[in-house]
Amino acid sequence: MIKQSLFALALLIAPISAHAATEIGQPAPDFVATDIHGEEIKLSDFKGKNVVLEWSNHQCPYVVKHYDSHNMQNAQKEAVDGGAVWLTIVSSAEGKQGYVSPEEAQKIVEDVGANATTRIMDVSGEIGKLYEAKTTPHMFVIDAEGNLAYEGAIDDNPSVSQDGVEGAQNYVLAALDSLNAGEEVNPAQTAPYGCSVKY
Amino acid sequence: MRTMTLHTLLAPLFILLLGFPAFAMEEDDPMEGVRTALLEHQHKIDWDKTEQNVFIKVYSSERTIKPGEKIPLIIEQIIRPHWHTYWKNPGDSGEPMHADWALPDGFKMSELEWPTPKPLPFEILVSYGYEGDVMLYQELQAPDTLAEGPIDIPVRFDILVCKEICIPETSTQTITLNAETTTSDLNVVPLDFITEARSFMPIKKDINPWQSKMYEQDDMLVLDILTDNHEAGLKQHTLHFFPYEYGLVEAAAEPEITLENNRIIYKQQRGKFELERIKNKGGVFVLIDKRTGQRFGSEIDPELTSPAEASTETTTSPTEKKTLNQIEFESAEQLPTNIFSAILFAIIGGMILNLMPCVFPVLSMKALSISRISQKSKAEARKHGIAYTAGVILSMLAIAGLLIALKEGGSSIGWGFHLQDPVVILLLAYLFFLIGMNLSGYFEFGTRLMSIGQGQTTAGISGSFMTGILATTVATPCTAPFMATALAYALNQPTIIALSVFAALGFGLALPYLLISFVPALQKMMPHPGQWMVTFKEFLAFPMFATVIWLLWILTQETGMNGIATPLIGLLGLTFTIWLFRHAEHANGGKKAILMLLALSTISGSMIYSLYQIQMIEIVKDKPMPEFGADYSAEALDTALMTDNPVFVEMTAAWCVTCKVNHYRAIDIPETRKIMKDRNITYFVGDWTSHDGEITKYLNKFGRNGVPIYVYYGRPDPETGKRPAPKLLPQLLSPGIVAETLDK
Repeated sequence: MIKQSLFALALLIAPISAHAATEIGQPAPDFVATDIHGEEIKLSDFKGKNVVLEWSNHQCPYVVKHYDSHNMQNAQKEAVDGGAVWLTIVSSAEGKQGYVSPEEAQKIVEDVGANATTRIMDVSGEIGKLYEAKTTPHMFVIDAEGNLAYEGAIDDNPSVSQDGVEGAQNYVLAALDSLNAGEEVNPAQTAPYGCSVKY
Repeated sequence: MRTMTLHTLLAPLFILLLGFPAFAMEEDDPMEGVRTALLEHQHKIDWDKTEQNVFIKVYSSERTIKPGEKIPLIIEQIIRPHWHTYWKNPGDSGEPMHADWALPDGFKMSELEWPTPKPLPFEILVSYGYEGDVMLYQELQAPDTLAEGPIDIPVRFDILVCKEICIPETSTQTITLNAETTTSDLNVVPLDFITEARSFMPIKKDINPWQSKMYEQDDMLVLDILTDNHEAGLKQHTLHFFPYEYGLVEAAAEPEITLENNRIIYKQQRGKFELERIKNKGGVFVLIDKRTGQRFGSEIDPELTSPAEASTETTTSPTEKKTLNQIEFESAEQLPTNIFSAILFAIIGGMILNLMPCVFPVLSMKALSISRISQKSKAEARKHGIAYTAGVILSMLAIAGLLIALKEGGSSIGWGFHLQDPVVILLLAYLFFLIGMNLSGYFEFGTRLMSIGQGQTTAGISGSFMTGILATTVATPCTAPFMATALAYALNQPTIIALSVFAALGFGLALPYLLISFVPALQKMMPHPGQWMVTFKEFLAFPMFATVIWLLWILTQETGMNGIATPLIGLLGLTFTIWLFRHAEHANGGKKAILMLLALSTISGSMIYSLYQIQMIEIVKDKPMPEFGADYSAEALDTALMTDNPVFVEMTAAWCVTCKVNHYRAIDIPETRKIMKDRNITYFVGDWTSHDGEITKYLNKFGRNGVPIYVYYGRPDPETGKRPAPKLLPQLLSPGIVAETLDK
């Protein structure tokens, strides 16, 4: 009896998980952060532009695949050239894999030749948890109205092998194309793949 | 060994009363990463000396393949401690292993089969995968025409292995079949190895008796599953659903679980994808043993429904029932126990109960009274017979209901293992001693009770009904040592099955008298009551005392010789108390009060002392060596199986009467000894008296959860070097059966 009551009690006080904050077609949650150059970045400031959020961890083999093959840099260039804002977010907690100081992060950006608008070290994991970012890379596309248009994998080849980069369908670029053409984004949601975000 | 001999004398008496082999209710613990003996093999990895985090090995029981034939393959991942790999749906992150086979023309490879996964929580995320050692299964099929000569099949494994960080690793190997000599990456193992590795796979949905449906409700995915497990069994497990596809549920969301008997309502936050988009909404539902971490997976393919529909449907039980233990049977590809045979055995068991010394006096008097009534009216006798049967069955059901209620209340089902608990054995010894004292006429308490049955025979139909209740009440404690294991097994079944088995037991118990009341010919055969009945009752005290000896013998098997003084002190206290009571009965006033007080303090003192003391005695783990044969250990068995000698394994327990009878009737006899010696048979004896995990594992391998078990491993085929499949001997042995099996 005691056991059962305790069990019931445990059920009552168990944390009720919050409903998914991100939903396709709904406003993307706003956030304010300081990027690696010390600039304040506010998502809502980018209204009127498409925004891409890229979760990253420079040591994760899946991220490495997309940067070594220049797939990510090329996508970033294409997106930014098309008028979008591309934010690379690293949610690795201090001491966890992928965590670096802003200076080190600047060097990484330089070394890989990243073409993103900027990079944010989300050490507290706040933004990551807000968006429920699961993997690196985990991609989000927000339309000009600030609504979430796409969420999921970068492409349809969930593997670490570089052979697969070529010929893979890039969902993020496809989403941006659809938005620019005023078409419906399809697919709007895919399963993200990669390493776990090191919260 | 003196005790053994003593037991041999007692055994034939008890085997009559037993009727059932012993069952156990617990599985044991192949903990995460710890493999059973059979799967333990030569690949020991010194992790300090390697950078690699996962090693992949390919096994088969075959080194050749014929045209059109399918051969089994096991792909093993040996993972660095604390690292993990992923299930086919990796959950929040990760990637499953890919096997890329460069198959020669016409060859086919089946889809990878994955063993039951576990949740791998990491901060706010949950992945699905494995730690330790993992064995995947695949089948290779050859084309219908096949050229002579060796066949090389290269394979490339891409696997992601993670701790906090993830590392992709690749392994390229080539397996070679049909070659004379080979340096192939294919490791050839006995078929047992394959079978055992497959036992870690979830139960396939086409043989899983569970019924499941799912619906969405308030952003939750609700799984409504009718299992074949009892609520108490379910409570001993952590429950977890592993969907085949991403987006069905949020892997990291804590599920809300409600249990209603054999029904599980599992609610978990819905995943990101619309239901229509998810092609395969099934998954593996896993019970994780809270004690051992052992996982039992069942594939489910829930029917999609709506909350409204789900609530209007009534809860019906699946027609085919299995217990948690039997899930394990299934995974070992054994047949489930049939409910009809369980009921049949219960009826036979009930009939045997009539021979129990403590039941017999009550019932024989009943039989005589029925025959007396029948001389007046046959119809009347029949009514009495029916009333008596109803009394027995109803009270049997009442007791079963009580037991089920108790079991529901407390989560532990210690009942099944009762004879491994010294306290229970001690209490039973006291009970049997008291019954013995009573039968021998030392005190009168119980006789008054029994005379109710006798006295009321003329009081009418209700009297017969009462006698039925009385018979059950008196029979129940007596049956405990012999029947409880089997009854506990029944109790572990869903309520309705358990009640059927108990009702059948009651019917069996009542059957002889029901027959007597209906068949006049039988009535004529009944002897006339008289002084002989008292003499007979006194005689029946001796089997009771013999039972006490047997129980004390079991106790010493568990506690060693230190355990003998304690129960004897308890018995002394009991006897002294009875003596005091007898005198108090005839005393008056202050003298009576003093005697009563003395009696009460004696009984409470001796009981408290002995019950406390018996728990303090450490259970002796070192068993005396068996008289011949070697002590069983998984390692020793493995070593023996490497040789060319046949191997014979016997699993036994001190409290298992069948085991002892078999041993002395068919194994420990000159003929069998001679065969073993002449044929160089390695003979192992495993003692399961106290709980021994290794032996439980061995039993499970053969789909058993109780002793005895006898297994014979024949000599390997001189050409292929492979042993024939192990041969299971029956649970009741005769010298002939043993000789025939061993001398082949």
